[in-house]
Amino acid sequence: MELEELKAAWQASGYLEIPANVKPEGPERVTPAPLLSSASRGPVARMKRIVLAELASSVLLLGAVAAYYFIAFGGWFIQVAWLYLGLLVLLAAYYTGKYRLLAAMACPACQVRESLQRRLHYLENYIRFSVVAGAVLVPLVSGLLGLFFLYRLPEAGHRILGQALAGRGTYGLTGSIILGLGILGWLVYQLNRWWASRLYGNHIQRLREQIAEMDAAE
Amino acid sequence: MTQQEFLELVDRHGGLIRKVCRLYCDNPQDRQDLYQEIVLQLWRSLPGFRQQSQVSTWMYRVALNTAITDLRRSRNRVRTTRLEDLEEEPADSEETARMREQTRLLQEAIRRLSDIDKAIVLLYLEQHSYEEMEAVLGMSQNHLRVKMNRIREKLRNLTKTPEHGT
Repeated sequence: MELEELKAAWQASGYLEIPANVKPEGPERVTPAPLLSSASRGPVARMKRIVLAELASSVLLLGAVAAYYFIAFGGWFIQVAWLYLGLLVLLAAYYTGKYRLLAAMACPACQVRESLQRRLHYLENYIRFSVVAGAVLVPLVSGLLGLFFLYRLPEAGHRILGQALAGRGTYGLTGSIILGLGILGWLVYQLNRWWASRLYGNHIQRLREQIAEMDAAE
Repeated sequence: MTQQEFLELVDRHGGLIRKVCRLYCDNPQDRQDLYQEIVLQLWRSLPGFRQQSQVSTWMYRVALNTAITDLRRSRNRVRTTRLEDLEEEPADSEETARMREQTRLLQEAIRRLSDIDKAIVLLYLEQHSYEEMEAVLGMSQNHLRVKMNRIREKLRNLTKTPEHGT
């Protein structure tokens, strides 16, 4: 079939022929006015809503825990409250970073190729940021919590550590803790990577293929 | 541009959006969802529209970007087409049997193309120049010509019938 034949067959098919002066009926009928204030059901919009929900949950949960430690125990655990507030600041920075990357990801009015490249670039950055930040946050917070309890409850803390790490000395103990936190960070990193790959792997592969397809003859 | 003016614009160019929806979604519910999403994305990207390009170019960009990059639809999208779906498509009763068969094969062949090829073939068959296609897709005109030739070959192979050998 030659191109002109193709065009003729296309026009004759009526497949996409929709008269300009006829309002759509059936499943394609829409009422645009209220639609303009509705929430987008696109994937990036959904991811942004999830990030905002996670941020709100963190603020509520950690804020409540911090408030509890500020008020309860006659101020004995006030450092825990500050620790939770610090964690809240870290998480807020983490979720803000994720949200900014998501906001930069979508460019519906860009040229299609540019839009795909932009989406791939920011999606890869988003995943890298999520994976690395998660791998850093978990051991960091665990270490801080451990240090706090060693400082605040030295007897119990030392008894537990003493039993587990008997005869290793101060350097051995410090090294073991660092090694343990390092292993924890590595495990979290691998888990995050696996999860990100499960969530976004196919989509990233598809974006790469589409961009390659648009670049193929150049 | 006010909301009312925007809605009038969508009314005037609604056919363009519906064509993209029909090309990228086989399921009527998916088409409806995609239509609404495109209108919403148009409304949200309206402040960035400087009217340096044609309205149709801007609308095609938003519509095709939304259709191509939607994760959910891509997962659920039906890649092949059932015969009964095709028979429900509008057809001119005065067409000859050969023409009907050819157009049916053409529809099926276009649905089998990749998302990018669908975008190219839609703009081409809707009589847009290579310059306009470049403005929408961001591919060079030379590349578009090469791609269009390849698509033509694909369509030629896909629409071959034993009877006519076209």
